[in-house]
Amino acid sequence: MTGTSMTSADSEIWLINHGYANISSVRNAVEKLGMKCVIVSSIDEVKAYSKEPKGIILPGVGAFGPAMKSLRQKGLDRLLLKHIQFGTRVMGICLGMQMLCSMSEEDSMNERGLDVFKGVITRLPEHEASVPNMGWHSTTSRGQTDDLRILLNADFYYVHSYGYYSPSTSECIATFKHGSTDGVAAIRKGNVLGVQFHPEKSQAAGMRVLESFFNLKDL
Amino acid sequence: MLKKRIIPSILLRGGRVVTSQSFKPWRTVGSLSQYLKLQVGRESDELLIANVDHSCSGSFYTDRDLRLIRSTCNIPVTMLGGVDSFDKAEYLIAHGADRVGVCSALFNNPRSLLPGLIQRLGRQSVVVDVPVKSINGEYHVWDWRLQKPVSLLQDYLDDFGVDMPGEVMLSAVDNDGHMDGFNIDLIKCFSLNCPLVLRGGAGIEEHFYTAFAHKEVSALAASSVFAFSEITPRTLHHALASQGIPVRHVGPLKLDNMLKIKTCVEGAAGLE
Repeated sequence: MTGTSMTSADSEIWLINHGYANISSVRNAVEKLGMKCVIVSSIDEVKAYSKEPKGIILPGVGAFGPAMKSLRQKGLDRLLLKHIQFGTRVMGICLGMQMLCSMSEEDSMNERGLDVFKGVITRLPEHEASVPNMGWHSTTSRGQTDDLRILLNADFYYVHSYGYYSPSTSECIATFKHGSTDGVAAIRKGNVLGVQFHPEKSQAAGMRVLESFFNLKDL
Repeated sequence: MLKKRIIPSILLRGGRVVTSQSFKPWRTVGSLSQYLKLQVGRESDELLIANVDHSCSGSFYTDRDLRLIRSTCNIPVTMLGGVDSFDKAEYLIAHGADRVGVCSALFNNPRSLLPGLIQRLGRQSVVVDVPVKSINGEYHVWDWRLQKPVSLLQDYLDDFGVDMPGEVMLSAVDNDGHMDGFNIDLIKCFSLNCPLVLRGGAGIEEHFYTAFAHKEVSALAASSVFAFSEITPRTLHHALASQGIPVRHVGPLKLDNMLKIKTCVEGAAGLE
């Protein structure tokens, strides 16, 4: 299945379809930004494809283990890692961000993550705030000021029961508060960005993050 | 921190958006595509779409409805109406719903469908809508199709047991469409460990402020106020923020004037 035919395009975003994601809303958001969206469901689909994407989005809704397993079965893990090494901009959304980390406590089925970010996904603490964490949160950027971090100081929509709770890592560029605990809202290493919130469901604030990341001048 | 949410509810009947009063009669206020654009453009925090047709004629969401909802909404959407099986719930999730709402399918036995829905969709994707009516000073769950009470509200909520949905919406039948305030009294009946949404009765900004002042209330759903007054989700966000209620930061107020689309009230009286 493809969002558009696989012809050449100046600003094409590949949307990784591993079967555990709400593809249509992410695709809508990308297309509203004027970028072409190609849905990639297996590595074979893009083998004969000479055009390099402007960026890749790894979305995700559901449980970690089944999603990672499906990603590997379709060869999409290799595709992602190859492009990450190559320097393509890759954005993981929600479970997609978690899949970029080392591992998860959630229904892992002995599947490891893509290990781009060295961290373990754990269940949200339940003693202070309800789990799943669902709704709009104010989000605070940290570290030096850059274009992306400025845009991360906004309210975004979150829905998740597991998260990355080591915001001390220097790669964490924005946090949200779950009760009194800081969780990672956004994490970045060069050309790879993971966001725990759903930019595609966060109206203008989310669209600005999507647009900005794929159009950043320098990484 | 987690923000309090403002949720326009869109009642869908025969492909048209309607408003109700005490759950009847239906007054047409516009088309679905127009209404979705309006409420999304005015920075609602999410949308509740209730398919009233199902209760009247048994029909489910059409492909066209779902396509419109998918392509228009860049905010979370809860779809309610006609969800009486796992298949229908999964179908809605696969076709654009972020959450599904269940209501009358639970009347006979809350435990029949709820645990399976939570297991298959995840707790966060399940909303339980509970229509509540006051009868002789007691709150009952109200079946408006049969026009009779189902059970005492307290007993009904207790029946959920350990199977907590993502959130529970208490819809006040007596307040619905009258625009004279939410039924704040319902809050004290609610002790479940999940977010609470109140629906029915909003007419002025003060009503939202009064309800949100209760920490138990996570979100407020309203319909008539957004169809028959100048109040929009965006103006509400600004008004509530100025009163210290934690709501989402939204764009400047002047946007509302730019996006103003005339709400067309169809039919001479609009009432059937």
